[in-house]
Amino acid sequence: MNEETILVLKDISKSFFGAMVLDNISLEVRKGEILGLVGENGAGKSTLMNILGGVLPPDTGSMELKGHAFTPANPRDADKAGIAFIHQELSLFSNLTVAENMFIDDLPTGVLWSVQFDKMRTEAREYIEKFGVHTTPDTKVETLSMGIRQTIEITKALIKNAEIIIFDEPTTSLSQTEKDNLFKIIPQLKDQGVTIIYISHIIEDVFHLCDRIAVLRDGYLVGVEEKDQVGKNQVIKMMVGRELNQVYPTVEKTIGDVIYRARNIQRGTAVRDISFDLRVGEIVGLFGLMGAGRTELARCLFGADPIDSGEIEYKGKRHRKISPELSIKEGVSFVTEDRRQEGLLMPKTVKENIVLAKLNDLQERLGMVSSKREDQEADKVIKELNVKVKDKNKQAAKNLSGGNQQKVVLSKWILKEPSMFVMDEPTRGVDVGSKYEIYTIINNMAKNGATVLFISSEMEELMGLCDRIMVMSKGKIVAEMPKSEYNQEKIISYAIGGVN
Amino acid sequence: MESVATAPTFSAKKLIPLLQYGVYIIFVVLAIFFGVMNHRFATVNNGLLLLQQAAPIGIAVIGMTFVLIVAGLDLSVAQNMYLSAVLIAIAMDSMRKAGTLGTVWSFVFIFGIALTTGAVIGTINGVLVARWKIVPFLATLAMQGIARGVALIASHSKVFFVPELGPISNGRWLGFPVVTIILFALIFIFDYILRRTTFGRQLMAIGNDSASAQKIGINVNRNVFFVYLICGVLAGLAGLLAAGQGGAIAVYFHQGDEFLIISSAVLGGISLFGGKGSVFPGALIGIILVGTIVNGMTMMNASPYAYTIVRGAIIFLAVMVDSINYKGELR
Repeated sequence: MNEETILVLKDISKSFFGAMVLDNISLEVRKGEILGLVGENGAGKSTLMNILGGVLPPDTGSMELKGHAFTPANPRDADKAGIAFIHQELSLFSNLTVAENMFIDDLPTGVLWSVQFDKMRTEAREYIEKFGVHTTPDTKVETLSMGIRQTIEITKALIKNAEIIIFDEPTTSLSQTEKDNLFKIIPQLKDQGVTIIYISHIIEDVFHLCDRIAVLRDGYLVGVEEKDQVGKNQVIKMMVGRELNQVYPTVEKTIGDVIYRARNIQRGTAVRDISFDLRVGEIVGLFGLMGAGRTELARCLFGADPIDSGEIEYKGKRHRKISPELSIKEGVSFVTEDRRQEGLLMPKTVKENIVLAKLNDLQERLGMVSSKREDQEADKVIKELNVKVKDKNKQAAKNLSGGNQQKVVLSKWILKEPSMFVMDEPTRGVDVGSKYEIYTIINNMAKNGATVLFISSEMEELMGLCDRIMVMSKGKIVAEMPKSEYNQEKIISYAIGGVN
Repeated sequence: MESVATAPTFSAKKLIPLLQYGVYIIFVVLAIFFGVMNHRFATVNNGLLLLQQAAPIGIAVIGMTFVLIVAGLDLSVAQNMYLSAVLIAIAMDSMRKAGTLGTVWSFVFIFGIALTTGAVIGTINGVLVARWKIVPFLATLAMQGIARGVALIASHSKVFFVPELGPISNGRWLGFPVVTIILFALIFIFDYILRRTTFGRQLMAIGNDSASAQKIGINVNRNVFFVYLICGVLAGLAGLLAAGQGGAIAVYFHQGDEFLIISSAVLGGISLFGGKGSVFPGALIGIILVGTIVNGMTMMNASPYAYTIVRGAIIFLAVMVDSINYKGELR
């Protein structure tokens, strides 16, 4: 370890419920550098940073900060040690002023415990001018834009003499000007000797800002490279790792007639004049970048959000008003990426979760639910989907791994035997093994005559699984291609550029 | 297809600008209404009487303001007042027999009982909510029942008379009702605490986002505990002053007034969702508005049952205004 090294991570491992999230990560961070940390979703970036920030303890391994062992028990410890986090969700108090926010945990006080607002204002003004933020110390934070709020958060870190500042996807909610401003501030921080760890999945930004780039993939540290000695393509390759010819399950199936027609679906500016057809037994992929309107479209199709205009035709029936009740009645199921929010009742047992959507059908006389039939149905589907659960009657959903949780969500809907599935990122946060099983489940459903609309931001899995891919950009479907014409570059260029 | 259909916006939101001045408008309308109905309403004397009548409850509203600021709730305030009043009355009964009632020390002792009773209830509430993390609604609802039970047992459900407290609750000093002076003094002090001290500013932060407050090192538990303690102590004091005002303490003493207290605070712009509001002018506006309604109805000789209806309407109005003004997560 040379004297320039400020932080050393040694052999850090971490697993959740048997799934290895971090595998023997060793990393040295140099004082005053900007280190980029890149990786796909679920590569382990946030887990690694949570360990550094004292949110999670590592299973094995150790950390050293400025030559001393560093074992943060909670975020406060990391804070005191000079490690600051700038998260996507900021921890500012919207009802307080800029100056108050900067000093809230240690307000300067004078006579009769009164806060010295003047002193605070003066100090706050210094920082505001230094960073060229367009605000005043007395402005309430709720009136400020995200970019300004973020700068205030950075200022807070500096007031506390932070030596390492970790940015976690900081540009997600920023406008272009705000982003430009942030990219001016970060090198300024570096000049002051602050060490920066910059987490992002936007390769261009990382190359623009960082001195070195560390790549994580599936819990491994694939490599740490000097920016000058590595190309963008090389980094992308390191991130993705597997070649495209990875095996996807296939089944023999026949694709039937058009069963679902969406016509001119419109909702605000997120979903604009969308029309498409789906056939029986077909798996159709929907690709698009963040903010392309995929999730919004899915919610409209299921009826979770009302549409402004347009109509759908399903099984020969036309619907102008779509509601979740109608969709479920007609056999449409909606699996979301957000298992915690929409799909699962976390504290409830696996069995309760599985039979939830089926309860009405399990009713016997007097509206009583037969627990014997509940058991049978749950067992059947647990076996079918290979859900790894020790005791379905006792184990709560929250104690399952991400992959198994997602399988429980799928089980729940499969019990209803739907004829159409709308799936929004069903494999996000799911480990590789479970992903394969989920693909198989989807394939089997299609084989049995279900129609699947599969939304994903992982192009690879769409190409591996789908019979047809539609590309969305800025609220519109801009391209559609059958399996024979799949081409990664073409898809991405449609997704980025919109209509060519 | 660039034409974007204009989705119909939630119509109540259009009322927001109106609602921000809502309480003032309601106040003016009511004042004119009562003034027309009864020519004695719009007089200086009645104004002072109104402030005098509203003062005890008003003091409890100050405490409730602090609780609501941290997104809490205290349902035990009214029974806190009752227990405090009963314990005072019992002490006064025995002092009356011993002939010591009326000395300066006897009054110090009486105030001590009221404040201590409030402090004990406030402490228990504070521990339940801040330390044991019991939902404020349930913790203070339990406390409400317990306080009432203790008060009923201690009083044997009998009515006490406390005329000796009259000079404090109904007396005047330099032409102003003494209780009103106490109310304004407390408003001044607690406005200072909320607005100017670290404790007060951190309460605003906790009410806005308690998880973030904890994360950046604010001692959330301790601050929340003190909030319930303050609310309890002020309710104890309110019990004493209310007892003196009525002169008698029956089993129905201020029963159900916790909702009047909460809605006074909410009408004054203190949000049930936390992090928003002030003692001055906020709580004071609520106190005066509710005081005006009670006073005006009394002057109109309204049926006692009408009070319940109006009280219900006040609560509904207060919560509606608050919900519509609430913009959800502001971050």
